[in-house]
Amino acid sequence: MSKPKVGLFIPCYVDQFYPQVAIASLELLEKLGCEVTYPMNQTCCGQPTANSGYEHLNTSVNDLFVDNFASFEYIVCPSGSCTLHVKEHMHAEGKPNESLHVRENSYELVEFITDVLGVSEISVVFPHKVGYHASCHGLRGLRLGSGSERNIAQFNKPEQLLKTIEGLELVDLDMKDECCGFGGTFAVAEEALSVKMGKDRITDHIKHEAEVITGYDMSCLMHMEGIINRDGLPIKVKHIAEILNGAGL
Amino acid sequence: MSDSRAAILSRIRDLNLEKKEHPVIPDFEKNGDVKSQFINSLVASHVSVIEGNLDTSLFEQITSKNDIIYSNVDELSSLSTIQKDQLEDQLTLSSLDHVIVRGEIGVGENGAIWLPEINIEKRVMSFITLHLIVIVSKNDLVHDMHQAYSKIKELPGFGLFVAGPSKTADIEQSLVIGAHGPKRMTVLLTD
Amino acid sequence: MSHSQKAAEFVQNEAKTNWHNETLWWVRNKRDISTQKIPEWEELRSLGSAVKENVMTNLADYLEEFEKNATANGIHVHWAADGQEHNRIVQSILEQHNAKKVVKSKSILTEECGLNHHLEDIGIEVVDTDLGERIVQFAKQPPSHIVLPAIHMKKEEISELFHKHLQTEEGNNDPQYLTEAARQHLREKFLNADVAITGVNFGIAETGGFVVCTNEGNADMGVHLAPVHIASMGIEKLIPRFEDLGIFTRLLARSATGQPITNYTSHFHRPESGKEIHVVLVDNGRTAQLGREKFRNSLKCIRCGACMNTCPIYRRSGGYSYNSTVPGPIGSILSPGFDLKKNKSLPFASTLCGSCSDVCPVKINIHEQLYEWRQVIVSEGLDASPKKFAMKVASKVLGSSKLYFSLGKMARKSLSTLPNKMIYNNLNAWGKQRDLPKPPKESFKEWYKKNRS
Ligand code: SF4
Repeated sequence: MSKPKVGLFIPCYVDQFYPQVAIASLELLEKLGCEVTYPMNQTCCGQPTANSGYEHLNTSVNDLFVDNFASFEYIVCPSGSCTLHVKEHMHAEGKPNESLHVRENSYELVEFITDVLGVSEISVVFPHKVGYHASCHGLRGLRLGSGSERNIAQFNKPEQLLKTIEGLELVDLDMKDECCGFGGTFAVAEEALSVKMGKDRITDHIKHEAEVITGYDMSCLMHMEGIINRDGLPIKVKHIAEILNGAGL
Repeated sequence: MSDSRAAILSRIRDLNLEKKEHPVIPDFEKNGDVKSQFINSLVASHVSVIEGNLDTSLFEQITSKNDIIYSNVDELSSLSTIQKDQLEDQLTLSSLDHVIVRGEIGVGENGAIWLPEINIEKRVMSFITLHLIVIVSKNDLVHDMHQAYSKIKELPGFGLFVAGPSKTADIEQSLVIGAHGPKRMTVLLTD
Repeated sequence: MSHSQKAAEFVQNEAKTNWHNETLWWVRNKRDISTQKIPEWEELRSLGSAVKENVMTNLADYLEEFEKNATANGIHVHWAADGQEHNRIVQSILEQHNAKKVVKSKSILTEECGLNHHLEDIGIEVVDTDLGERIVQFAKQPPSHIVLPAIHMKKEEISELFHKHLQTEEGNNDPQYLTEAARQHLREKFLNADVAITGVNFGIAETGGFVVCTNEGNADMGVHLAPVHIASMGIEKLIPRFEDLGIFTRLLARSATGQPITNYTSHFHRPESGKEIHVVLVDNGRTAQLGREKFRNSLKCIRCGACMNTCPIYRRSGGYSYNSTVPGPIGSILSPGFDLKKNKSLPFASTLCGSCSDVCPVKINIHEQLYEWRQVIVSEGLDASPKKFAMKVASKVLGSSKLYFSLGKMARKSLSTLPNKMIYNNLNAWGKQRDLPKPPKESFKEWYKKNRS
């Protein structure tokens, strides 16, 4: 079987502020047998503007995105939120087929590992108590888990992988899929609420003695990390790609 | 006919929406013993349940000596302490202690009981009384609301599904029984 | 005031915010437990949604069918294009009967039409009889939640109100005691009312009747004692068939409070002898919403309130932060249709977390409509100009890999070299209570260039 050809899509803020998450994603995919390329001209998926009501300004962002990624078999991204935006809204004018290809073959990193690569176990060690944050867009948009709202058979793709990691202990939370309050420009437009929501989320993790909060969306983790660092709270954040790739605490 | 009627209808028709079909309601699988479901639902809704026959002596335990009682169930008419025409008087209505009526259908999934107008004599009666007593036959139990609605063949001018004594939780979500209507409800489940 | 300003005020009182949040989450939890008892729950939601789809796309026919059958049943049917006409119709019915005293049970529609004010202005006594609504009426406030009108109040505040209006003991905060006081006060109102007004949960086209659901029994106490019953009904409240009630009675209470059914589900088809029933069918912006393709299915709403209970924003900002008759997620997609300018901040009062859409018993895609309203608000030029400018810049930068690369580098550099005082200033809402991430030496792009290409 030939190696899956993956175009690695790294969200703009991850590229700029969290290169270690991008490196972990790249190395992890390579370890799992993918041929990974990072198209050098990529910038962003256009979600920040679109979610603020400016989708109409995204013409050149979308053009660039489709140009960068249309030639790949799969487009994989270590962010549920950006992936969801691509799947729902990516559309370059005059390139309907390429756009469709991009939308239909975009995957969030974890679901790519479990669903496309069919990997059900990760053999690394992470001897810590971990709180898992189910970011909303991945959870309810991409359906990475069943969610507490719906009456369907329970599943949770990221947790299922985390549970196979040696030494890793997942803590139970009071609210297992509550929003952390990041929400893109919501984080600044509704600053007071956003911070309150973030604090409530962190409190839940600390109450259940998690040492680290992990998840598939660095944006939510960045928001919570911002509060943790400002208030000097006894907990850390770490993107799931780093844990799956064998990073320490 | 008012202008607004014509205006509303034409505003809707002018949209020319593509018509979507009404779905078929499937026959959902019914599981479990309907009688115990019905009783459990009632108990959860703060209803006392008695199994027995239409025996007037049963009611001595749940009523007191000078209580005002109106029974709209023929076999129990001897229990009534007031006459039908006295129900027209608001003061009498307002002082009703017990009203006894017959329920037509009991629903397992939620304890709701169908009371068509003909069974309740006067519409306000089962709301204004302090204690509502409903007689339901075990043969009239169904599993869910779909079955219940399909059993209602004749539409009364007024009909009610009642599922417990009047309640509210409007103050800090603390449950209080007896908001406006009955503070007590008893179901007599007969063979 | 925008939603964000009101929300910022609300969260200032942290203890109360936590209480509000936890109380509503508790209701959401009861909903979960109750829906999990129904194996076919998700199928029921789809059915509910499909029935309403059928209603929306055949609305004119169903309205006529309802009118014909209701009239044949002896019910008077009226049509109101807007709230004012609705109020005038109600007024004229009251005048015909020389009515001075009205009892009303929960109806968000009459709230939307401003009926109470209208009637009070012409000297009619209007008493809201739902306990929660009576409480907010004493406080001269609108309901803060469509199912739990007084959920924003603590029992101490309610006790104070009752002490003032009903002469209850000062400082007695016992809900049982307070409810009993309201019971006696309202019993007297019920017995003396000339007209009773209710809302409608479901109007049935096939049979020309309608259904009203309550737990307290206040709607029934009102209408069965008063000689005249006026039912105000939004035109979207129709369902085609009697059998459809099987779907909706199963969905409504479980979604609203977690009860398997409301205590009283009352079916009205003909007036009691010697009495009258009037139904007022109200448009008030509904046909306009029907014409907005992307927002049409907001009209499927059965007003269960579940989207409010689940909403992480609503729970922490309270109903009044929305400043609209229907607050919360569903309000944020309905209200812009009434007044885009006034409600322009509402579609932004969300992280688009999507929980509302997943609890909604009729599967309204609420969070997707929030996204769409944002596009409308911006294209109508209603967004604040600083953001407009920022967005234009952002789309320029993100649309060019060269600009993005060089500006990104510059930003990281200045973040690591500038003093904190300059980074965390008043203009930086992010940094008020949060640190910015520590900028790394190199971006991933730079790393990749060195290590992989
Ligand atoms: S939108 Fe859905 S969840 Fe919200 S009140 Fe309406 S029916 Fe209930």
